[in-house]
Amino acid sequence: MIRGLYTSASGMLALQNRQESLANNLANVNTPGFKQDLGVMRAFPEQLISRIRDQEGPDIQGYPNLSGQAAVIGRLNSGVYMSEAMPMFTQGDIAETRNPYDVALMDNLQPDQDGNERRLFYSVARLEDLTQPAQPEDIRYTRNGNWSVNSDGYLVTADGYYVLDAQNQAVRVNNPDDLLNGVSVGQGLIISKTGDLQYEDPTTKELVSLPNNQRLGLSVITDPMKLVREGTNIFRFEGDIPVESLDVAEANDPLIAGRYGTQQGWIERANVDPMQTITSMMSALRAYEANQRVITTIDGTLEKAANEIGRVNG
Amino acid sequence: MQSLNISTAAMRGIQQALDNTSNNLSNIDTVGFKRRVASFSELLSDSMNEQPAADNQNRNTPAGLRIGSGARLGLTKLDMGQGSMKQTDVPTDLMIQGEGYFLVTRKIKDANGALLQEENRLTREGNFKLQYSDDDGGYVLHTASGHILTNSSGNPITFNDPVGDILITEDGSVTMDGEPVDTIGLWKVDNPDELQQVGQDLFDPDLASGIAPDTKYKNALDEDVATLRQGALESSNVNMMEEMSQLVNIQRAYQLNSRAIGISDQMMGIANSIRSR
Repeated sequence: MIRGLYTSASGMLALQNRQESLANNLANVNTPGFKQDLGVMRAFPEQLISRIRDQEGPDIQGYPNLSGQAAVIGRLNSGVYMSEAMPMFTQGDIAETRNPYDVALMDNLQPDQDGNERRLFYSVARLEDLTQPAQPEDIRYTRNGNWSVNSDGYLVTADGYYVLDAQNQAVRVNNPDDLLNGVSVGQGLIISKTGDLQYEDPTTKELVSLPNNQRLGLSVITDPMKLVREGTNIFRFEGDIPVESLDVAEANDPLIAGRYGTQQGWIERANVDPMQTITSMMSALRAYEANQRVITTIDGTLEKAANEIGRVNG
Repeated sequence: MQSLNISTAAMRGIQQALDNTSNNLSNIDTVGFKRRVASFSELLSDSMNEQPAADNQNRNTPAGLRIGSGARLGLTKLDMGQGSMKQTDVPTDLMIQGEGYFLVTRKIKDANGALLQEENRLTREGNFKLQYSDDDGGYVLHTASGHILTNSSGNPITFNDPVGDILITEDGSVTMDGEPVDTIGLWKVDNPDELQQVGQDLFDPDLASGIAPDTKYKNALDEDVATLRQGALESSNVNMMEEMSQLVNIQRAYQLNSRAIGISDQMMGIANSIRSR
């Protein structure tokens, strides 16, 4: 009896967590590159229930029924919990912004030989020394292609991470310190489908690559479920230094080549479906209500046991 | 309940995006105005000690249940797209076609008339007006904010006698009745995000007083990235359709989040009513 009380309470708690997770998805419905979380609900481990000191228990097939022994009733689950929130990596819609520093990343990578899901990500990092390439442990991954240029002329994300190129160096499109020798591309930056960083030469009108920074750092991540979500739209690889961080443009793998593209002036929107999220919230609400009702009912039964049993002239 | 905070944070951000949209819309007829685009970013996530150890599935998610904390307005980006042309046929109206800014200055003086400092500003607003200036000993081109248009070395353009036909060519040279007067300076700013928007359609280029602009910026007319057009003005680059659809979009997001608050509130109500039969 009391056990049911705790079971329902655990259900309410799990649904509350689920509601929080859904609310976070909904809150980020306009965050570029956001990947929605799916809540994973799990039952508590099953218990084997038995009646103890039962002399006359029923026979259960396969079990010897000796007098004085506990009679096995069966299995019982004693509740539910939300074990984790798993990001869903499907592609979000893309929307046009006409901003030169917005780049939508689209991929259609095929699973690898072992059937693992593969996804493409931009590499970003917080850097102290901008002249050196980022160390592997500092590199973070994101799908957020909504960038701007900071006052030093580097491409940065809205949260202050530097956008890295294929050599893991910060991309500088604008060098205000040095008008003559530095690259000052600014709004004239052109990003090709494969992530090449170029600009139009003002005199020859030809496309020229940025010196040193030839290409956006795109990483193929096999089994993206191994990524740790840090918040602020950033993922981190935990454990050994990771990922098949190959230079996708040079990859000859037929499962990668030609199956991705960057689109400048566009943005990948969150893959949150507001309709579905609100519906899930409503069903969570109703399930929460049902659990409360179970608690109330059990409480009513307990009340009977406490106050009515044993009363002689009710 | 964390979800109340999550949705509130999102609604706060959405409200700021709404403010941005309404500012864009209210400046739809401001000459030379550049719109700003609001974009959102996710907040940090928090870990709850729900699950004591790694799951027995092959995943690297850390122990514990991750709960996000919503969204905020990440940045409002300046959209430097060209605005459409408005023909006015006023000879002192100028429009920049392409990249570039006018540099305008204003002398700030104390009560006794002594010069305190010179204020340099960049602008795309080209509705100038001829006005006499004591400081420059002649007629100068004023902006609506009282700043004076400068030439290609950062000094005010002065007309001795304002009677006559003013002709300004595509490359910025100013003539009056065929007599050359000066050349207008247009400055190319590669990274408009480094400019501080100070209102009145002006940007602060952070030039110290008396410093020539060509130490910091390239001349846009020499670089062939801009041309001037006389007798026309650049309208704001605000697009009514786009702003309205953005308005609808963020209003819906606001409604959805307020609905999420409502649902969380109902859940708290349900929890509260467990013992209220």
